Amino acid sequence: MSISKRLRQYDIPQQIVLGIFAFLTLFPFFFMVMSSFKTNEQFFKQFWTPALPLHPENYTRVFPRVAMFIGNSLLYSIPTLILVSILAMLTGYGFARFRFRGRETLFLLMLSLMMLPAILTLIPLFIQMRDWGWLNTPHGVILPWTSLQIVFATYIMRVFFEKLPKEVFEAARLDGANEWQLFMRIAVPLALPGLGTIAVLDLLFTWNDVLWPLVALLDRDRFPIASGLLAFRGDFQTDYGPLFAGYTLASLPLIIFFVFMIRRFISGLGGMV
Amino acid sequence: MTNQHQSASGARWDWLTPYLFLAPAFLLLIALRYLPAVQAVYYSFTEWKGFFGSPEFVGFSNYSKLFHDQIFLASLRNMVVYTVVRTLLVLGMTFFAAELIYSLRNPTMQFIWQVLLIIPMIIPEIVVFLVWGFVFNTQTGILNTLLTAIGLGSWAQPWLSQSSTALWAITFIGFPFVASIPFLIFTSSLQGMPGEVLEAAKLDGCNTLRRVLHIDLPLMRGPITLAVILLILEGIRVLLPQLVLTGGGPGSSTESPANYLYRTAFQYGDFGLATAVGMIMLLVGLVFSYLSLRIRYQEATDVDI
Repeated sequence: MSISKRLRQYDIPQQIVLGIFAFLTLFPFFFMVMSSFKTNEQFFKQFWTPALPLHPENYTRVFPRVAMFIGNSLLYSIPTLILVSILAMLTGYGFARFRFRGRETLFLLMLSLMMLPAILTLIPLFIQMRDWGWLNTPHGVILPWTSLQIVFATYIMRVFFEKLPKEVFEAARLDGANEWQLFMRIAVPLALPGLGTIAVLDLLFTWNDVLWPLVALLDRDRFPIASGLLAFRGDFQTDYGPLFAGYTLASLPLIIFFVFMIRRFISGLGGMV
Repeated sequence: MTNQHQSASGARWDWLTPYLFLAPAFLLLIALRYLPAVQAVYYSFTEWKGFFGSPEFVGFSNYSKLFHDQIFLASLRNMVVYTVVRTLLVLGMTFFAAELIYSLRNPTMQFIWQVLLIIPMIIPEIVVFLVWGFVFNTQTGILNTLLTAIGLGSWAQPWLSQSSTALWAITFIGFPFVASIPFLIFTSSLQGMPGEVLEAAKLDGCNTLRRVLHIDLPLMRGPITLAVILLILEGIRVLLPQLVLTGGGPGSSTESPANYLYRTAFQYGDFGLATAVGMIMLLVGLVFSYLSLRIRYQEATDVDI
């Protein structure tokens, strides 16, 4: 077999270009992890290559602060995820299973919220939170986050429930189950695996949102990870090892989560089409 | 008999059942989304200074103030440049990368490259911006160190801290942009293209370039429109590069409407003016989404998925 034929068989030209893309895409983060094990001296002396000895104490130095932010994030993200899942199942089921007056109008009204930039309601919401005394509280973050996330989640659940065969429900209904029992005994168990996409989108959002916590939480020690890192950067300006160690630590929880979810992640986000 | 009676009495309230399923979500949405949106419309017509002040109706004065404010106008110009350049760059690069992956014969390799290229999506956005801020760092940044190392030290620039380059620097954050939703949209819709059409094209001796131009592009009009809308909305709402890296400066060279809104509200305490900025952002977003959809459906008379 000639070389050019073999090159084409394994798509070598394409793979080389993709390799360059992957290198450019990943290098900044490789650099981040590499530098997180260096002292400043090593950092300047061996800029491009890993340096020995490694300095894992950079991590122990920043751990308490970053762990606090991660803990805060979990404190806001998990309740948000649970609330979004429950509300999206209820609402998606309501839209999918019943025919009622105003169904499509209400659904469109809900979807139209996706055009509403969160920053437009930043100030009215902030004032509302102030008046209700919700500033600087966990629910002052959780409920607004939930209200932003349920729209698309409901859409996903509606599509999901509409695909279920109607016979499943008819059989149980003949056994005398009421609508609530149908929902709890049949719809919810069937929907649980379908929640993966919602979990992916929801965690990406809550792990990334900087602005609302910055406004709604007055106390830095309550910041979730994204807003927290802004404050954290200020403390380690040019202390590159600990600085990058902090960034790396902050990235770990999502990475660990998505390693287990990578196929669902791709199909979930791709499924937005 | 009794059974019938029961269902009849139940039927009186049956119409309510669906609404009960919707009620919790809608209560939350009314309180935290619809009501604040309506309030925002009103606040944008008021003069309202400070945390403890109260709104006073002033008509269109905020809007006319904004359109005479050089910084706000600069933020609109920056937004247009950022959005247009970035939308084109991202579309081009992600479409190219998706086609490259699609052209691989081995499905496992397709999956591996796809995963490698989107890894940064699972790194917190804020870390992405912080790390890219370091790429552009003047003294110790990756880009300037690289330029110096290959003998182009004279090209080194304070990328983020001079007004001639700052906007371009933030536009290029995330290069080559493959770790993005448009990329996922393109890869998944390429994989979903109808096989018969491609077979037919192959039999007709259609080469790759012609297939991409004459088959893939028209077939993917829907996904491309979606990507364009997402990118435009992202451009209109851009905030993180400003919040994390430039603060809108130097001068107002990287100012964006969202950052202007944030500073107006929480640094200068001018809530009325800031809300008016939000209203303008909403309207611009609506207009552009409408236009993209119209173009997509006007042209889509021939082929469609």
